Amino acid sequence: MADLRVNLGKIALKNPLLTASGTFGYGREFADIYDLSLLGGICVKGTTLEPRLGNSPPRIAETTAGMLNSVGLQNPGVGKVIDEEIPFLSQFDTAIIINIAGHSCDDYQAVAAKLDGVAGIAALELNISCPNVKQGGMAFGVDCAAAATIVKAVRRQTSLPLIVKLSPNVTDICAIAAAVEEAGADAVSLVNTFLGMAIDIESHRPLLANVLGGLSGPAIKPIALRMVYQVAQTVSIPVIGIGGICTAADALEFMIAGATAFEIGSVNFHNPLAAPQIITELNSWLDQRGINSIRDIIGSIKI
Amino acid sequence: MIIEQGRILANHQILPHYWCLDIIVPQIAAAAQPGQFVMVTPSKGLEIFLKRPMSLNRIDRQGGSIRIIYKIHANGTKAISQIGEGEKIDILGPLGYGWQIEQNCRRALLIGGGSGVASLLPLAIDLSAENTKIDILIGAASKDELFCLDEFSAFAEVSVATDDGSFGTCGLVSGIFPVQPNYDTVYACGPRAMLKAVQQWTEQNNLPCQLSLEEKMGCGLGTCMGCVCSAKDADGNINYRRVCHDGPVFNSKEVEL
Repeated sequence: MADLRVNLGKIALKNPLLTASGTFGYGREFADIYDLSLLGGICVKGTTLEPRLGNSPPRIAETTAGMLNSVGLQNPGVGKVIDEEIPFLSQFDTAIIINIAGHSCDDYQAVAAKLDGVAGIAALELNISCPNVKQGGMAFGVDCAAAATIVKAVRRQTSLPLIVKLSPNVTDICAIAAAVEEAGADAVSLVNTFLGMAIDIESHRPLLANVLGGLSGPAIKPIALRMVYQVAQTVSIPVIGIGGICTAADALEFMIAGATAFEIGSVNFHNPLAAPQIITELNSWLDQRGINSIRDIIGSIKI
Repeated sequence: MIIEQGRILANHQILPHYWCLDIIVPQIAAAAQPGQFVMVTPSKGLEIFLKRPMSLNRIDRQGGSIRIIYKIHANGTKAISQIGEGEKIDILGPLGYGWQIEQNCRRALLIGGGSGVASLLPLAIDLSAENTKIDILIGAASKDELFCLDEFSAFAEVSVATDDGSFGTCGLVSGIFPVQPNYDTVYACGPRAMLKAVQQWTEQNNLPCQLSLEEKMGCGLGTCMGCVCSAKDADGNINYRRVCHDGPVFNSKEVEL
């Protein structure tokens, strides 16, 4: 058995697999399928200050080797998450990462302040990259100054490690990553979904009620991998790779490119057993090659 | 909820647009209830990325199999139609909240439209075991889209409406709603416009009604929030409920169509 432990700065993970926000709810549905303690960590559904209704349906559309979603951060609000969801998740031996989102800098600060001191949280993941809400969300993640402002503001409200989830819908993701590092981020996770669309050619209408949505799944993997590689070259804080990871081989590509950990998202819908299967496959891949620790893989790319 | 590798017993075309799929899944068959559904993996690769939700037309607990009657819409259902006898595919189920049979339901009206007719058969079987008197109204585009009529006739009085008049009454199924209805429960599954007509009609006639909704789904588990419908809570507040998890069967009074 290889050593799968990795450290995301101050956050010690038993393995590098995290489930991505928005694809795993608050863990309840998957807890019926496997032991959540197998996971390196869980990034919960994007949580806002007040409950959010979310966008009108239809909210999802399948595309070739992927899917579009425009859920719009439907969630019960941070109060209910603290009262009901975090206590549930705390029974598992895994890192609980609360993904937070908002409309304004004040929103983000208020959510972070409410979560500060709540037992059982390993880190916050700051969502400045949701493409599906009209104000806020991605608006903060596509501009270096705005991204830095919000990271500094949230930093003041929390003693928890702060992961900043980056949008790929930018000209230069490295510049954004450098700006949030400078502003006090402990790690970056990338990428969130790519803004996309699909149209029904018979009705001439978009398949999503919100017209545009976020593209995820294996279709985006090569672009996500490129961005993770570039950002890992740029920043010195840990990088979490996200984007179309479906197998241990996919995950290893991200780690070789420089990711310390990775998140799996849409594959949880394609195959609900993906997470435990990938962990098992990672173990055997390392064992077969006589590699003692997965940490030896991180950033091992040869150019 | 069970993840089971199912073996295909049969998968064949029964009508120009409809196919019938029998799968051996003993654990899922043992647990399934009428009105629930399963998620079917269309192909082994990643190109068709999401599973497809499919309602149960037959639950054979002793034989350990389920039957699905499905219409070919696009690439996912087309891929499913190409799975051969003896092949193995992943099935996730049984999922969702199914039909509810109230105690002392003496008379029930079942209304089905298009592929929605499929999920009414296990309900009719269970109602009939409770000695409920059943009437069924079926709506379809034409006689080429009608299935299970013989099976339903064994349990119920069947009336049919087709859009083109090729079978039964010509027109929509709403044209054959009874004038003076006397039922303990109305159950309906079909296209949104049909469900809306059923909802209005049952409201006007003060009849308890359950509606089974169809929606595109991401996970089928209640996680992705992709398949929501607009609903009212007890205080009249609007919220979005998950068709896969809170439904697919809803009390007609709860949902906004």
